[in-house]
Amino acid sequence: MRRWTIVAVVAILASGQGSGAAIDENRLQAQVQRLHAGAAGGDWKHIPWVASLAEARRCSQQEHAPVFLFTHDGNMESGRC
Amino acid sequence: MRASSLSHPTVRALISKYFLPVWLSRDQYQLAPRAKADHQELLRIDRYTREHKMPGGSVCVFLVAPNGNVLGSLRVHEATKADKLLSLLEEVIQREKLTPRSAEAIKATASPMHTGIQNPEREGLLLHVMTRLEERRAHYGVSEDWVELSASEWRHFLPGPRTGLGDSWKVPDEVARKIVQYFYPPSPNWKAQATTVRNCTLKATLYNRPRDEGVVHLAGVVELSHPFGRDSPGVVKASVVGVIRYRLTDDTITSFQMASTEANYAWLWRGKPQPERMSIAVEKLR
Repeated sequence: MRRWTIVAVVAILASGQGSGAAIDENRLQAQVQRLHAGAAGGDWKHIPWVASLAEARRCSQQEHAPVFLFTHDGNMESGRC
Repeated sequence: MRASSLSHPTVRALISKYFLPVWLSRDQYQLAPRAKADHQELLRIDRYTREHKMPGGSVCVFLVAPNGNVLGSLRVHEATKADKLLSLLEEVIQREKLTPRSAEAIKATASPMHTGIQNPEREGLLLHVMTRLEERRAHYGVSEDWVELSASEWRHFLPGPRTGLGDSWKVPDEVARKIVQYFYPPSPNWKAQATTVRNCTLKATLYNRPRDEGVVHLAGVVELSHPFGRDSPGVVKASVVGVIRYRLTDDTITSFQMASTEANYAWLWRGKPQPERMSIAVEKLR
């Protein structure tokens, strides 16, 4: 038993691993990826939004197509609205 | 609207095919100052709807003809309903005898999204903070904020020259607060200025140092107050963990990930607590 304890301690020291609290890295990564995917997704993001109102109006005159303008408070892209 | 009518497949298809779609934030939240040309055009459209007694207001849909006339408009409480927005779009498409835009034209005018940090520092650490509610309000989607830590700030996440494996240190409050102030969920009150960090303890531990890489583990607790609406007080309580990897040769952070192991947001509605589970995640962008 004592021999196995010594082996384990030597193995930890050799690996360079400290005694800080262990973290489930797979779970951590999965949560970051899940929220990242949620931020990148959203069906409304598939609408081909034009960069600015002035640009949309300029292209509208060239193409003879109307502008769909949605004004709001906050930031629609970041979900802070 | 983004989670309701703007995500409806037919609404989306009609907007994409027949119109030049553009969204505009009235308060430019998280965005660079509005260009003068956009500002003047917005004032003109607002004036037009007022003079023609059409629906208007800060949160509103406007359909604007090539000559600048407003063909129709819907306030948010109507436009958020897919059937109402759909009937306005269909009516204008028929009345104006619109033809679909070409795929080339659509591609040429589509622009990538433009939120984020403007002009980031060369040596700064750019972090992406995301939150979401996980129960009744999961459909609010994911909120995003961006935080840039200067080199003198992000160095607090790395060990000093005499730090040994297993040693821990506290991340200074002023640095931790720059990140955790955004740990509130998507809600009708979206402004970070409404947040008060009540408690924040973030501990870093040098966990591992194999070969040429160092690994730091983070663990902490956070408590914020953030109202749900204008007058509905709310509190976020969260426990978080994180893992930072850095190069030993030049102390460059190569990976930074943090996430909640447990997080709740409870706000008061008519004096009754409305608790909801939420998730928080932070990742390095640059």
